[in-house]
Amino acid sequence: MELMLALLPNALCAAGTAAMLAVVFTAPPRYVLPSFACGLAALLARDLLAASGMNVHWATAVASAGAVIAAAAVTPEHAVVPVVLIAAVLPLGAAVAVFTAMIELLRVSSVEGAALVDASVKLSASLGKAFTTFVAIALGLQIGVAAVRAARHEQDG
Amino acid sequence: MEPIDVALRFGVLALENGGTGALADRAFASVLKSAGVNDGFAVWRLDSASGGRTCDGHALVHAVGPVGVNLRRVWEIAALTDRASRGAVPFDTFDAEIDHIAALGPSYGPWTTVAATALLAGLFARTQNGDWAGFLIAAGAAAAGQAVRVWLLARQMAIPAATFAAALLSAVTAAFGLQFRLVSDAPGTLMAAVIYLIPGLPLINGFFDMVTPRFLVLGAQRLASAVLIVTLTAIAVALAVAVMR
Repeated sequence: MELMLALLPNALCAAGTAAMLAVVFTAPPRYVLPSFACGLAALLARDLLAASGMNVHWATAVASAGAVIAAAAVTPEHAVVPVVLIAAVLPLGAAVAVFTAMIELLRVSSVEGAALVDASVKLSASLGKAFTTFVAIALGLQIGVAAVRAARHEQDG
Repeated sequence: MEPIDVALRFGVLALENGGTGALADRAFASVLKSAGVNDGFAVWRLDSASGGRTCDGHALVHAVGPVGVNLRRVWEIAALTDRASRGAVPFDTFDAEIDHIAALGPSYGPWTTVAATALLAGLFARTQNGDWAGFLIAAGAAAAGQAVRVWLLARQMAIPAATFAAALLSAVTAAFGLQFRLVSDAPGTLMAAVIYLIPGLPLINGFFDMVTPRFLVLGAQRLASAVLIVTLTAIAVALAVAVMR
């Protein structure tokens, strides 16, 4: 419980980020609150799992799958609405790592000596982080979508 | 108008406003169903869509205009598609329905969008271990960039050019604010200032399209356009950092 309370402020910021992303992406107003809820669930799940010792990329994958299931649960039509998913998983993403990688990629061509080594190390580290985070999110989304489809199939059948 | 023509127009409207390839295809099929045509086919790309009937071997091609995001229209397209698929929309009314959807404005006005962008950037800066100074710098820089972007897009500027201009303004504003060294996480704040430019919808639609073999090309085109936007934004950030150094 203490851990959850410690993680809550950051998760609330991520949830607010998700809700505002939904507005920026022109989502109809009825999807703003579900985006907030899914963003909160996804970040809390990732941080709780990572804090309890799980590898952060596996935690990201599980949190992404959780975001899909949460989206199916809280959206008005119980549908997996893409905009809710994007808003919920973007705060999990490696946006900073992607931009750092792009900046170092531009920098690496114009520096020499120790600065070149420094830029190269930062570039490969950022690329690795961005790649594994995106793969984790994609894997989580796929598992989540498959789980929701299977649940719906069972319900219909 | 021919059913194929109306159906293509409906599908293209879905693509132009941020709908997936699957939605465009469902929209296309729903129009044909209401017209009693059951041998139609369509091929979707980000620059053009073509469709026809297998019985006559002819195909029509519709150009796809600038691809933006208006999920209010996408929502209306999905609702009309569902009604048409249940046989509740006569074919004669489709033209008027499509015109009505095409005339719908976005869900939020420009000032709401700018305010949401500011809050988005500030909150994102906080999630990147930023403090309240970072919140304010990121929020101000993002609001300035988004206001310029909305203004430029309203004047029909191409999306990549408007994105680059907005990214440059946001990044320079944030980098200027960071000169005062009041912020605990400078890279996080700088990235938060341009986070609103992340092409989230092309990325996720590209992902969903690419996992369906029929929409592989469409998905690849979407992902390529998303990479272009990310690259332009990163160049703008790198330029701002270089200027401020």
